[in-house]
Amino acid sequence: MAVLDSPTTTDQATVGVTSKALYTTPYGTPGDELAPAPVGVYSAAVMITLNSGLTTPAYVWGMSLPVAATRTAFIRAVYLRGCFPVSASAAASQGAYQLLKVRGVIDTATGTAVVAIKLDSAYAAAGMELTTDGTGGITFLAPGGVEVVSLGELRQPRRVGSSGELVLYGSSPRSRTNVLELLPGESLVIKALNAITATNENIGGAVNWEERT
Amino acid sequence: MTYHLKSGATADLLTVDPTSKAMRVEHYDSAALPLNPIPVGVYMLPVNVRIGGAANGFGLWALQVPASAARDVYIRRIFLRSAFDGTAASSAPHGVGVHRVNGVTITSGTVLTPIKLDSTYAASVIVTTAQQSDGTTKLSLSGGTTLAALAYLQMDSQTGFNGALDLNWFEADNPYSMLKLVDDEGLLLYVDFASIVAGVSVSGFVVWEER
Repeated sequence: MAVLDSPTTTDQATVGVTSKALYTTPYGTPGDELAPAPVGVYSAAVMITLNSGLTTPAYVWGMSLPVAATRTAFIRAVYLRGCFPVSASAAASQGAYQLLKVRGVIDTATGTAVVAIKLDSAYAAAGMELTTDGTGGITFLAPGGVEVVSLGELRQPRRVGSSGELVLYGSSPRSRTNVLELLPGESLVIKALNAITATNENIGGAVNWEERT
Repeated sequence: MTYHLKSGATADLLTVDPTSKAMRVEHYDSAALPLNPIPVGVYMLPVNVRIGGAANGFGLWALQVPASAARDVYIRRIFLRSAFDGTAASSAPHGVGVHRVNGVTITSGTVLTPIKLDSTYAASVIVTTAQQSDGTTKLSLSGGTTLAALAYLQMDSQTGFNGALDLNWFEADNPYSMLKLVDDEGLLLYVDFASIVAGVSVSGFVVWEER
């Protein structure tokens, strides 16, 4: 009868009382745990009302990890849908909205704060800060934002009753591949590229992410 | 040579599967959470509402865990489409917010019975609290807390409009991926904005598991 002892601590491996199975924790070759517990998983709504007075190009929605944050964020999914609830079509015109990773932190003093909702009420509050403004746009704190990469573009035809769509599903953060990582001082933003032809064109949806220390 | 591996916590011994001859293991993360928990059951409910009259600021559809449920609810997926068949009109942006609620009393509407994805599952714990508006009778909400929307399904009062929202949180072997609801918490679809007109409909489904 053997008990499996840890050579570095006094811990001993356990066997499930019901399953009679050995408890294991998967690790990768470099020594990192394959499925580490996140600090929390969060969702934030996207609801941006564009105003024809907006000077484009302009950032209209953004989420940032502050420079002093001690967490890393992993974007799990982005779901965006455009809407043109205006009776008159704008011929040969499209709204174009770019989803960008930016090095820099948004100024949450601009725009309207967006609330990060915990997917489990037991999680700690999100470290991410979010804001939106489809009238004046949002800005970055000094020294400004540097666009790193475009993840995709939402195209919204300006036709009565039309709707465009952009859906991004990253694979599991656990795989450590194919998922957008945001470090402290980095942001995910939506940028309106084209002039807004009619107030009330809008973008709805959600962003889902997890945070780890 | 025979060795038996004994648990460091109890007198239990590790077993080997009689068919595969594989050692039985259970995966846990370093926070001691099982990575592959088997749910009591997996369930779904339809969402199917057409708003019959001009209205705004009301509950459309809700799912709530009772105050003393013996299980936790994990929302796997929320899939919604919106459409419009009324008299076309320009409108301000409006939509259905997906909200987490806590301690809210929800009355009126039609009680829906969750559908088991496997007929051998036990009945869902939320059988008595899933409700749906008939489109003109609003869900009545009182007390508790309704948090800010975690997502928006857009609506439009224009001919031919189709909106969509697909929150597909389920991820195999990831116990952290889904929206978790414990006792007295719930999920609410709520029309947050003004200028909703007759003819907007919302359809789709919600899928969850219970543990």
